[in-house]
Amino acid sequence: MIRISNLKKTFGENSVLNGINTVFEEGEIYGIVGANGSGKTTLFRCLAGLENYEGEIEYDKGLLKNELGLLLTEPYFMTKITGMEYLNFMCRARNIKPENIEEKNVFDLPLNRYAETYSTGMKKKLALTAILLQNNNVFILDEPYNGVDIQSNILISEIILKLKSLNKTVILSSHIFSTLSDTCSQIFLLKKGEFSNPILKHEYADLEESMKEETVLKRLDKLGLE
Amino acid sequence: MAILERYVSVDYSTSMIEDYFKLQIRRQVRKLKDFGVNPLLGSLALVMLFGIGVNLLMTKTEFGTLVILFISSSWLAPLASKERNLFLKSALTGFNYYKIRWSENIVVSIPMLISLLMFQKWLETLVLVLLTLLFTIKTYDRFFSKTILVPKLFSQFPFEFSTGFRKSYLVLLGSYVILFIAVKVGNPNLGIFSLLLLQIVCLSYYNTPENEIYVWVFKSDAKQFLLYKIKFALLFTSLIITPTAILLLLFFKSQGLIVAGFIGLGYVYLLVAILLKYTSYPNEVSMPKGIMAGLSLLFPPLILVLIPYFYNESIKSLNEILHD
Repeated sequence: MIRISNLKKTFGENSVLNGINTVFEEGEIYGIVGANGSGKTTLFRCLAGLENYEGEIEYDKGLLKNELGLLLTEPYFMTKITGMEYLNFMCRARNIKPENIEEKNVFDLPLNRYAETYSTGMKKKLALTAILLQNNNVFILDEPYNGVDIQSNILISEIILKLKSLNKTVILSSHIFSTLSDTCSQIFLLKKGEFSNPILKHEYADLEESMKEETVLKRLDKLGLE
Repeated sequence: MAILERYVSVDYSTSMIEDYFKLQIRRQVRKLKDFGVNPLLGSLALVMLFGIGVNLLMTKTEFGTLVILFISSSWLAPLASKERNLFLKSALTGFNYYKIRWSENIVVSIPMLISLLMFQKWLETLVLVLLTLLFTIKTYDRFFSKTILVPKLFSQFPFEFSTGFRKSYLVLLGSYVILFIAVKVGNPNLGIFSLLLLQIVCLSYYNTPENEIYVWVFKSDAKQFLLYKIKFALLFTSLIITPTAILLLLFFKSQGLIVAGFIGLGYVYLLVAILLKYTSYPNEVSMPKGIMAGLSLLFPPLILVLIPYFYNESIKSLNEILHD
């Protein structure tokens, strides 16, 4: 279980997170939605311990970062490192002996090629494979579907559901609402640095409708298209 | 300082080439600022260091011109990468692309050309002029190049030696050629130079801080992390230098002590380089610490103070990321 209490984060004068309180339970999938720049990535970086913050983040199984699989929106790959070496590195960093990697290459990635030459979707799939090989208990997936082909998107959703069945905690952000509604047990709307009340499955349709109204229709009218 | 700032400020009435070079200067100024250095003083210091370095190379070593040609190529080559040139071609119209490529290659080569001319190295000057032309005409595919195979052990324990090996394999090969020549002509100094070259290359694998995720991901505390890095640095450097060291000891027995001394010092400076890299992590190494490390090359006993100091600073910086 991860308990977040009064989490605040500011960058200079700019307050990004304004006191977030919530609990993420084991074996659940949580969706986070919010406009670009709403603070989703900052929240994830705070959870990972990559940012200093005010408030508390408690994890009942020890140090969260050591059991956390973090998939960033734009995974970073250094030059001249092959896909296989990246996976080797990510396993060894967690004291895991990399075994049967070829077999576990479920996205059929060309592991002997430099990761820098991969397409956006392939990079995402490589980074996802790496955190899956690490046997983490908690996963933060920041836009895992971004740039990935349809077939792999289906596989990613199935992987997320499998993680849930294995009692792992998954925190997920996506700009494609259906990917969240298909997988998440709860969704939080991050707006002005604060979480909404948890939105449950039966309320997803209302949430999608209200988001459409607020962010699409009003702006569409402003364009005055004829 | 004000002159420099004024020069690099945007002025839309200037020519495209002038704008391009202003932009490049602005980038270098930013790099110096990020390094914590006054850009004007930093530039002057770099010019002075360059002068001193070239003078030392040309007067104190037998192969200064080779080093100069090698350094010049390593400056020119990145400018000729296919990816970069595709971008320039797409952004610049017609002849402007060629004007920029010629100009920047000349700007990069000029300091070395002047140095070679001052020491009356006519043939080497000609070689550098040809290299400058070649790198202007020819681009090469760096980004999509075929994967270069590295020793399996480097691949299994990435990333410094697997990525570093691929970037520097030509230099490593060059050092073995130099060693071969040294043995053939019976020149122990040249042999020791080939060993030094290998050590410097291994040390260079630790000169840039990696992205913070590559440290954050480790399930270890700062001390364990540093020990892990040091262990593999020593092991893999040993793998690279051992063949050269054995051949030197075989062919230049009388130089055994000197070879052993260089190997020992190489390991110590490798340790300094690793610790130095993490002192300001995830930021670049700060100028004062860089200078301290540089001074230790001139005055090796300083290492005795620097190693514990850099170690403590690294532990502090790494604790911020590893938390353990």
